[in-house]
Amino acid sequence: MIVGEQKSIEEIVELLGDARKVLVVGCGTCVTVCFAGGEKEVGVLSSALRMKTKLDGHPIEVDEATVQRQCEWEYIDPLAERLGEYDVVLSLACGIGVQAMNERFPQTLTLPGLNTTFLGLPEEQGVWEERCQACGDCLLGVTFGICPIARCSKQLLNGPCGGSQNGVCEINADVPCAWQLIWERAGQMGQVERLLVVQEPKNWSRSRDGGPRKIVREDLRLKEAE
Amino acid sequence: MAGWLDRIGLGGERVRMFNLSSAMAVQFAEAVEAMVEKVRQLGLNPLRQERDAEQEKSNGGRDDRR
Repeated sequence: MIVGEQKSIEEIVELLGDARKVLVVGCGTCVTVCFAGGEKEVGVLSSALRMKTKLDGHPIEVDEATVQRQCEWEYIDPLAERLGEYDVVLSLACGIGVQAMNERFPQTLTLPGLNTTFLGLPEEQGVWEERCQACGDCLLGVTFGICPIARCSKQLLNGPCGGSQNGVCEINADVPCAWQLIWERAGQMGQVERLLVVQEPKNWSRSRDGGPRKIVREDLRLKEAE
Repeated sequence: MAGWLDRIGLGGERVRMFNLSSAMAVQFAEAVEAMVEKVRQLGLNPLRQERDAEQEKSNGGRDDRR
């Protein structure tokens, strides 16, 4: 899932500027699961904004909405008829949702209420860890299902490095060494010899180094009638 | 919740959670007394003060709370 964290209320109030009427829009997918921007968080933040701005002497009117998925037109289109009432929209979706709102409704400014942080999973209740960097050229098939791009601090393709000590990374004792994990998994599978194959330099043009990415599936496109 | 009240300037000390069973009447009474004392020290909720003032004004100066 996409994992995000709410911005501080001070930063949000500053972003809202002179807006007097605000619609806070949550997203019912990833950011709901990570407790950052779902219906409940929209309610809590909206109440906090009403109280804080009133205490600060500049009360603003705050309304609430949550859509199932803020990153798809069909889910955000029903908001269109409401947006004319508001000075700005505060989105509690990830950066994709914020951009979808701005792209679909260019007459209304949508501001981000979250910092989109990483692609990861809940390791335990209240703890999320990064697992994928969407590099566009997945290596998990040769690294025994453990990603050295997202989980090795140096993104090494052939590891571990000399900074791996007792199974943890030199940057922080709380960070497991990804290559130690890969090595142990290879041992469990009885396939350590596969790690003797030196990985060639990675094709980073399929990652962000190649600029913004796009996938076109001609088999799925709805072609215009000829 | 206390963190939110601190962040918005209302004061996180205004709320506290006590874990008590139905058999802990003495502790319940102590907790209530402690919170009443704390809230008296902190004074009225500023949002409530403003709301009450508006209500009093609309009632022509009469305070219906008393």
